[in-house]
Amino acid sequence: MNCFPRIFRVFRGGFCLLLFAIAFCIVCALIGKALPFPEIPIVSQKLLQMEERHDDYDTLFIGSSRIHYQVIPTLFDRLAAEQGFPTRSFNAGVAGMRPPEDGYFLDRILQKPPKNLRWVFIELASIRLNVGEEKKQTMRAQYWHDWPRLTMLWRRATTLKPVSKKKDTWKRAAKELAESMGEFLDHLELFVRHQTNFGRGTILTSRLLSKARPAKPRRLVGALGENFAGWIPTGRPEEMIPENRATYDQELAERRAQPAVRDLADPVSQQALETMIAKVERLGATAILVVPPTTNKRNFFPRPEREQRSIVLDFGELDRHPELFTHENRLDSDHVNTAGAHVFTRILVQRWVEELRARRHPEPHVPAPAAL
Amino acid sequence: MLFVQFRFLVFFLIVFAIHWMLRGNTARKIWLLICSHFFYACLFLGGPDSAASDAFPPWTFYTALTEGRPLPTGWWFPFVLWGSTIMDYVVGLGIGNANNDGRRKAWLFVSLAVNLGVLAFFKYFNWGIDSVYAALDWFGLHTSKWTLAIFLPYGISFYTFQSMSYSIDVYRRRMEPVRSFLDLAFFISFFPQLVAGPIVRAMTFLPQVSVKRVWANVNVRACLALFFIGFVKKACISENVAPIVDAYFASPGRYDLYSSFIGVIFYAVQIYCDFSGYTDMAIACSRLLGYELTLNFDFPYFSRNITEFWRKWHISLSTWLRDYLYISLGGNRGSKLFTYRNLMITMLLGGLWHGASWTFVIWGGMHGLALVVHREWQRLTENAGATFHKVMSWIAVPLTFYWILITWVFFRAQNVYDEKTRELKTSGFAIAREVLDAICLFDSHGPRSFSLSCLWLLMGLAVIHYANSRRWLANWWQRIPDWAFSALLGAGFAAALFFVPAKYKPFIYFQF
Repeated sequence: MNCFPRIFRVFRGGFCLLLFAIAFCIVCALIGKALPFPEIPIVSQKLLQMEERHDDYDTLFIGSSRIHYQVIPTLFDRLAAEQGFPTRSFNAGVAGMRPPEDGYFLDRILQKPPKNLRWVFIELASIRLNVGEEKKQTMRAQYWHDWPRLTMLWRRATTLKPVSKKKDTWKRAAKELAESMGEFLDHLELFVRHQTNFGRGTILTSRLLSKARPAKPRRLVGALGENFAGWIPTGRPEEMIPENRATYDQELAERRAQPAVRDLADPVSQQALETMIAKVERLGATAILVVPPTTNKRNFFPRPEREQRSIVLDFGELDRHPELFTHENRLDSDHVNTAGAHVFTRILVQRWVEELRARRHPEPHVPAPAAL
Repeated sequence: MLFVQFRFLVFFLIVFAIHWMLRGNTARKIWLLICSHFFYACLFLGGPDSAASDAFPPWTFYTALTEGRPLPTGWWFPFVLWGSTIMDYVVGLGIGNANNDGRRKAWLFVSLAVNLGVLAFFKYFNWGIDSVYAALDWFGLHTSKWTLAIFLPYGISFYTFQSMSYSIDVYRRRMEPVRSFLDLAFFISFFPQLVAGPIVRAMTFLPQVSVKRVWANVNVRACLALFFIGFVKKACISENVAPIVDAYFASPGRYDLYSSFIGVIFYAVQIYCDFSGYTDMAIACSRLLGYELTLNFDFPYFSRNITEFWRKWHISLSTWLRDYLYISLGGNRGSKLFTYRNLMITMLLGGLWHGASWTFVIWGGMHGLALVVHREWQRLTENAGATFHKVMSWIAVPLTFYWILITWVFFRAQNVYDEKTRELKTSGFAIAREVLDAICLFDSHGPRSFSLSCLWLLMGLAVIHYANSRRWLANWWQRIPDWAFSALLGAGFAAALFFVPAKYKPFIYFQF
């Protein structure tokens, strides 16, 4: 039964374990290679559109629901053309997409580099480790967990907030670390699930056993909206519900009394942003960083040296854009409604064009730092 | 934390590594006892079907206590487990020290009364009240309903039976009472079998506990293969046929005849793969820690009669019922009618053990009836010719399987309640009637139909299962070299994970 030479017998257990791992990894990799991108609502449709029409667009919007539901590409193109900056834009925002998922999403889009890409609007957001109970077992939470993203999350989990001189500092630090580690374990599980193609076969079996054939992603044009430009209304009632209104009014009053803090968050979030910017610039395009119109206490901002080099459009300023914060234009503290989306797109074009004119764009691109 | 989850793998690797690193037997038992309670805590925090079950129990308790939040649901479940253990420990010593039969009986009565009382309260109280109200309603006596918000502690049906087996065996002088409380606590709460069996007897497990386990006696290859088989059964087969079963039993009247049979047969596949898969994984984990658990399944769907089926299905329960209930009732030491009465009582209570619902009682009753009929049939045909027996041997397996399918209908057809109002939407009996119309009267003309691929899948599974039952696939993997087995197992797990659904259903037997 045992065909190993003597030297191997000593390490037989370890050698068998290694073989087990190698075979496991090879089969996982082979299956992964053979599989198409998983079908994830909105994500798949947007990636497919970009894959098929990657050279059609010169302007991209990347971010969460605050981009997905709030930037109307067809309107953006029309207004930009009126200002003398003709564009063909695509809204690649997806609800709930934050760093580092947006980085992975951008990588997927840039796999087939769009030849004409000139502008990439990136929503500014920091990394949050919490996956959310309802999302943990979904393909949406799983698909972006590759090695670069996992290492980023690990660094984020092990980065503690600066220690203050309070008595309970060690307790707070221990609690924070324990929570971060618990959240990182969720990501580790999602990483394993992603690498092992976990659950992907069930789509095959359900198709095999059920008579109904699921619609192909390209057929779900509803997800891409008018002119397949990637914008759709939220689908929620256009008026604020009373509970949201009360919270919103309270937060709005607070922000009027005390404007939002410019939050540099953690070094890992900053690095994630720099990595995205570097990838965009490598293609000869320019990254434009957007702070969406919210009533948050803190708004994530890039480091000052980055802010000087890039265009940063801050829409969190209440006094500068009061129309974005009126009740008739809002859904809640974080989002505007369809009317608000029109207003926001118009202001976005206006601010962007102002910046371009002020900076006399197109300028030569600043090369990305080597460390990134 | 379920056996098929990634976090169980992490948990088990830690348990396994530290268990074999510890030198002393007592240290190992203490370690496994702690781990068993950690495993149990991971289940009762939010339940096996809740996403909250991955919370770290000590941390959840600590934060709940320090931040003044309510404790997680079922925080008191371990106290029931400990209470049962302490009580049976005292009862065991009491029986051992009693100097006359009266005292011995009294101690046993305490054990039975407390264990069955706890089980009856948690599992059957609301059902009993509901049944009384329904009966009063039927007589036209309308009264307002009064039930308690009772949560059933996980695994209570299994561990109360285990602890009762200890008291009864000590009473019957089959074993000496255990002097070490640690041993008994370890036996009752040993995590591979704590929540869904197999129901381990004190007589078979406690002798293992007292002897230090030896790594050299562990057949790692067989354990890994068994775990893999269990994993495939649960995660790949049971989970993938579940959507078909759920769709069918949600509205059986909407399906055609072919689909009705597919729906019911798939349920038979689902419950077998779910439960036997769990048992395989439990046995494998236990063996990897050096302990042997009872065999629970032996290809029951190839049984030639219902008696044989009960020798092969949920063996640990059927033998428990036989040894502690059927024999205690008098068994077959009396007239024919007396034996049949005992059979019926045993099977009715066996049905009720599965859950507080009349459909389970009917399920048990149907099996009891089939056992009685089979005994009579055996008596009537014992002098029949060889040709008769040959013909019967051909039709016996499909006939038995058909009867089992009919009984599964009652097992699966549970009441459907509105998710928000918790009011009864469809009764289990109404669902069962529609399914029985289809598979017994062949009356089903609904517009919906399952794909023909279901039939091919079913045939494929049947062929593999048959080959396994004939032991055709049993030994080849034992003959290949270690390196080939390791590589094959790695490839097998990679392929299996591909077919595991993203969302798990908890094991069916967890609810019992």
